[in-house]
Amino acid sequence: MSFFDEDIKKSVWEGKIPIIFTLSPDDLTSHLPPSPYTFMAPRNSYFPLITSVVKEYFSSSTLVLLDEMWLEYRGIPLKWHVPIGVLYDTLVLSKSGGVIEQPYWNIVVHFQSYPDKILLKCPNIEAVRTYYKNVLKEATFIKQGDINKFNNLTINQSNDLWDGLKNHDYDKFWSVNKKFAPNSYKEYKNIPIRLIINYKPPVQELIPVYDGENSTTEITLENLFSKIPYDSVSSLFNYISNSNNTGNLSPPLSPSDRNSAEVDNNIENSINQSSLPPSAEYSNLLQFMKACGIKYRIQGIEPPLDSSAVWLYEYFSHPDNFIYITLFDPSNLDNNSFNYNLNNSNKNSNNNNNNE
Amino acid sequence: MDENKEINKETNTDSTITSPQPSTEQPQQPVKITPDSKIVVYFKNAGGAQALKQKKFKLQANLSFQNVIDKLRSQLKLKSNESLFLFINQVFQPSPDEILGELYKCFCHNDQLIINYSDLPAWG
Repeated sequence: MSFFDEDIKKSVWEGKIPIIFTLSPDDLTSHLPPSPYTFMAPRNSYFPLITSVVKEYFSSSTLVLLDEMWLEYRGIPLKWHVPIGVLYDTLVLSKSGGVIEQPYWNIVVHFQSYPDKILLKCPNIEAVRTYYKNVLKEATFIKQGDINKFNNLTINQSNDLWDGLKNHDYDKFWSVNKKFAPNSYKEYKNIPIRLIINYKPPVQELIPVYDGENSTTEITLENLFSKIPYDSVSSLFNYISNSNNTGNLSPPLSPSDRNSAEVDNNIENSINQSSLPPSAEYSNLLQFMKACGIKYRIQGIEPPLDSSAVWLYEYFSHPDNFIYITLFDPSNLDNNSFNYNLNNSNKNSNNNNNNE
Repeated sequence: MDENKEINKETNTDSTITSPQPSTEQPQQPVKITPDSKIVVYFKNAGGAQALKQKKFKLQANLSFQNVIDKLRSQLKLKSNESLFLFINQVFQPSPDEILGELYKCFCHNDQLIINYSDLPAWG
């Protein structure tokens, strides 16, 4: 551990994204539209933990408070249970080739027609806490093979961890979160990683700290990618169809069908298949990345491939104790490639893939 | 649900949960999981939840955990107001959008994924 490491941990925690929230025109019931609400959102947080001010701000301009508030970016409902920074890297950074094109992230706020086939329900903050606790246990189990470190927390520690996350309080959060760190790299069973591709549910693999049983060499990020079978990710990049789909567009779904369609298939069907041939086969992710120029982002940046994977994990992981690696193809920047074709898509002027 | 299957027929059959199969045949699974793989899930009851007659099922790897929850609830013939909590290895409740194959890769034991279920949040 070098002198600067603690600073890195703090810098990662302080990572923020400037957001402009705008009320959906569908929900506007006052004469004057409210001005947008700007906010610096911590990467390491979840939207429901920071948006109560947004809700309060807009609620005077709308009468349609029938439903849970939800957020949308370019027709895509934002999954509240994905860390804000991961959402940004996946939906914004990936689609601008990894560079920051716009100074702000423009997000539309909705108060009706909650897309509950796409988003999990989030009735209250307690739902976020339950979700967070379970992901944390999942990560802890991957890391140690048990969750003793989690179970050994006192009630006060458990509350401090949650309050630290909720209030974005570095000292409070890390005073407890550091207890989940193994005493040495040797104590790790595996590194909890999640790969995020095209806004799909995460891909998880068991990644060891060392390269081989008797090795004392930590695996690098490059080694990590080489340990992930190509099959694990191939179906998630748009242009590679894993079925006998010949690349034709799926038939559009009418609103009534969409309501009944089950979440995953709904998403699957709405993806435009691009024309690149799925002919090449690779034995692992690294080969595929090199051949096709696939890029990655961790907490918004691209650490060198020769970085130690476990070191990156300890400093760049999210509060749920997973490290999220966003993968994207910079030659396929079309944001419509994961457009969800929302029920109300015909009302969105910027939505041009309305197939109906 | 039924219209759903209609819709997806030509592009995929992911939503169709495979019918229960005898667990005696071929429990061996490849290490590599593709969306077409089938994996063995072993349902263990706890608390006041009733046991299943058949406890092992071969399910498609690309199912979401929500699909698994729905499958188990229908096997148990639960009403919508009856609660059911599912845990992996008596440790955690996966998010409904997590993919079964990803959970299998990280948490399988002896080529099967053990899912504990209870009418109460037993390991919450």
